[in-house]
Amino acid sequence: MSEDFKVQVENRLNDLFHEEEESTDDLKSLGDHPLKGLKAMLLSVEWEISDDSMEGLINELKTLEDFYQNDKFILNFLRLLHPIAKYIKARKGESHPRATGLLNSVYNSLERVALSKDMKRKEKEAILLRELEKFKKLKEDVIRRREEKIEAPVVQAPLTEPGGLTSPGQFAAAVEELKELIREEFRALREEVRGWRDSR
Amino acid sequence: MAIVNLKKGEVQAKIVYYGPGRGGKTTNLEYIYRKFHDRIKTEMVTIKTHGDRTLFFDFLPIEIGKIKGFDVRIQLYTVPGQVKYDATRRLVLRGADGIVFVADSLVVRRKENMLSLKNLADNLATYKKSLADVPIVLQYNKRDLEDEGIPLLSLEALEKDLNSRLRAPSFGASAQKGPNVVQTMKKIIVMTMDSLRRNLM
Repeated sequence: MSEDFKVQVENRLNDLFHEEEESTDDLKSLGDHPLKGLKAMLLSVEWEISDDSMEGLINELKTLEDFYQNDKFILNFLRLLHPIAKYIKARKGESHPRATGLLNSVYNSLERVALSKDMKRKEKEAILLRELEKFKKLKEDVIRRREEKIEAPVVQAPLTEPGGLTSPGQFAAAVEELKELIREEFRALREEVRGWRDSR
Repeated sequence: MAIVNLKKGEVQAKIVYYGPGRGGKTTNLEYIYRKFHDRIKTEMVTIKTHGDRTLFFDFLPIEIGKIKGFDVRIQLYTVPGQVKYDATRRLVLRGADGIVFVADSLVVRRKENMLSLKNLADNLATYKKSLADVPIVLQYNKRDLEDEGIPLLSLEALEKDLNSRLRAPSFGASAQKGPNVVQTMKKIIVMTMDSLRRNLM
């Protein structure tokens, strides 16, 4: 009975979460490619945003910009990464939540373009434009937020399931923790707005 | 705690992804959501701070479908990994029917892994439970970084540090790229459902 039940669960999960063969592109190592250093720097930023890691990233970008002077597409991707890296270096943990994600997104697109031998010019342009749009959107969001009335994150009803809160002491501790988080968010937003104003 | 509605023929179970900050808990859920969004037909809820950290938790409900005549729904949660958010972590952990402990394979994160596992045991103890009472799967994440020349703990070292007493199923994985993310989830769902069947049905 037990084995029968487990088999039924496993079969249902196998049907639902069947994975197609992974593209080998996703797992391809960069080997000795010139972008290898940049990828390593981005991984260290993913781990920790510090002066050292950001300085390393920006220096690597400068080196690559020289290296790729004659490759317009790669150069444009690198030039897109540069201001994002500078912004994150300035704001660090208080930078916009999407900034580090955009850094990775632009890099992934850059890697795709750089490693592909058969990609057509139009496709490269489309990829670059998509990243540029994301960059513009992020910049607009940050600027707009300074003009809007800042609202605290709202915790929706499902977040506190009935009976989900335990003793009054634990509940009070969690509320205090959330209050402090919200205060931190406000502080971070104010700093962020100041940072963008200064950088313009 | 699981909700079993015999009248309606519904089962709902809660699985919590636990582990140190920046270990890849959210990335696990994001991978699942990105990859199977069309099939699971639900939305992922995520609340992040400045700097891309989990503020409260991430939440991904999954409709599994009918098993033994019951409509099964799984709720995947992550806890905030940062040490200072312990009260929040404890609340999210409450009523967990299964746990995935996402450890960071980086050598420099060895201590954080062990502290986080101890924190998990401590927080379960507040609910009068131990690690042995709840189905658990260990995931050793970020194995892909080996290709980048970043020093990683060996799987054997991770097993010795974290799993020598537990003897739980474990997977080396890469939440960024996908290997063993789905396998981890499948394993914990099977274990959780089996545990619920034994305890409740």
